[in-house]
Amino acid sequence: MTIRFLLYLILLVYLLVLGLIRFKKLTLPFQILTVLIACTLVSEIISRILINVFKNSSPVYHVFNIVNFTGYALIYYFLLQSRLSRKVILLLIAGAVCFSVFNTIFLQSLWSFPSNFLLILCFLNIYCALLLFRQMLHDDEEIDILRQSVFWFNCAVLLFYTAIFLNWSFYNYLVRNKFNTKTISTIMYYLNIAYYIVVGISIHINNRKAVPVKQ
Amino acid sequence: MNSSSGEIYFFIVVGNAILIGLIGFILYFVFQYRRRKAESIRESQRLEEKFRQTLLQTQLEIQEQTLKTISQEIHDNIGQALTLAKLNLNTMLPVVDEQLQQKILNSKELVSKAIGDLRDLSHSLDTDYVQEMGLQRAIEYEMEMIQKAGTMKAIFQVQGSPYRLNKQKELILFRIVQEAFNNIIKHADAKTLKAAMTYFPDALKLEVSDDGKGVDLSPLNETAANFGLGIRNMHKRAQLIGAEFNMNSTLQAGTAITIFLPVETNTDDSKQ
Ligand SMILES: Nc1ncnc2c1ncn2[C@@H]1O[C@H](COP(=O)(O)OP(=O)(O)OP(=O)(O)O)[C@@H](O)[C@H]1O
Ligand SMILES: [Mg+2]
Repeated sequence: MTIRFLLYLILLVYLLVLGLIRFKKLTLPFQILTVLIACTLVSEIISRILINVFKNSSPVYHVFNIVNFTGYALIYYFLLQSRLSRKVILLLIAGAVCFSVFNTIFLQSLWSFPSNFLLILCFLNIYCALLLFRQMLHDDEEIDILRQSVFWFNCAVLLFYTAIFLNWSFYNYLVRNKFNTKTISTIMYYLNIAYYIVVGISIHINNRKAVPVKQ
Repeated sequence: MNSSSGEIYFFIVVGNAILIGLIGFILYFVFQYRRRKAESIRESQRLEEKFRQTLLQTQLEIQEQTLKTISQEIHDNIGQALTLAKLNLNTMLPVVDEQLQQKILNSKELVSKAIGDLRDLSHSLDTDYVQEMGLQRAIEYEMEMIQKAGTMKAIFQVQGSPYRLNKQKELILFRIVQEAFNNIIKHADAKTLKAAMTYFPDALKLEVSDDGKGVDLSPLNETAANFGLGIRNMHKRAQLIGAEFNMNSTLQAGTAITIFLPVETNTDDSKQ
């Protein structure tokens, strides 16, 4: 177990504990986020066990990616207000589940990493994050933007999933050309850690009854 | 190999450019968001202010309406009744003896004075009349009435070349001056009352002062509920038309109010 993996796990545990302690004060999307973090933690641990036993953790991701996708889709389902976006999200969940099964059976078998699906998750999140930014510009929240949990969460999602998308593309390119991919993996690790730190900030400041700033 | 490292280089540059672009986008978003919020706060403040002004305006309009009704009532009913009484007295004159005649004559005089006073009062209450006469004339008229009452000397001064303001503003200014006069008559124990109008090209200054006993105005700042409704109203009225209102008083020396109203010179103000 490397130090950075330990760091990553500790961070996830911390976020989970934080989310559970504040669970009653959190808004619904952030409650879902907390559950999602719990799932992430479990999947990371199982994945580690699988690596030790089978030298391959891919099966976990075939399952976890669906959970992950559904989780984020639900979070954005509750964050976004436009009916159209909500319908699109519901359709996307249904479509994604079908695609995931299709992908596992025909394209990327259980023992290979389901990167196709990861890319779809990236697209979903980038798309929803942008929609949410647009929505935020029009709603009349009285709190300063830097104190809004949704803002931090959305920034984290937008940057992280764009970076992950780029990294994966790059990673695939490197693999195809038989280059060393160690740096990319390391970068992705730290991206994860940075992502969960910002998500932690958002869980920390999220509040059902947000207090408006004094003008 | 060379082209590959070129491709890698390209990948890295493009990837980083996209990320930097996104960060730029988020910063821009924060900036835009704050600007919008500030704007919407300003907007709601503006609406609130407008609402307050409208409310005040409505209050004043209702007041004016009441004054007008009273004025009409005085003119039409009480005035009528007194005139009739006077006629009755006239018809009584020839048929009574000497002693009563003198009393009837006295009564007639009293009734005539009452009719005159009531007419004056109804005029100074009546919005239309004040607006027709114009501010300057209305103030002058008011002062003539004070002078006639005989308890104090009334001095009116005008400087600069006179112009008319918009009628609404003139009426509001007149009501302020009237309240100042009333206060002097009611409270000041003054020997002289002075009013001065100064027409500057871009502003109008109105001063009303007396040499009476003065008053300690400090309770005004403590928002003592009972003190100074009249004074507060003068202040509010001045605010409504965008005029500056000041009141100064020295005990045993007198009291003065000043109203300073900026006048837009390039828009024709008198035409509204
Ligand atoms: N010119 C003045 N000279 C002396 N005292 C004054 C003068 N003007 C006002 N005051 C004092 O200030 C107080 C507040 O005046 P204000 O006009 O606000 O109320 P008011 O005249 O008593 O009542 P209202 O105007 O509502 O009929 C008065 O009670 C009076 O004691
Ligand atoms: Mg008064």
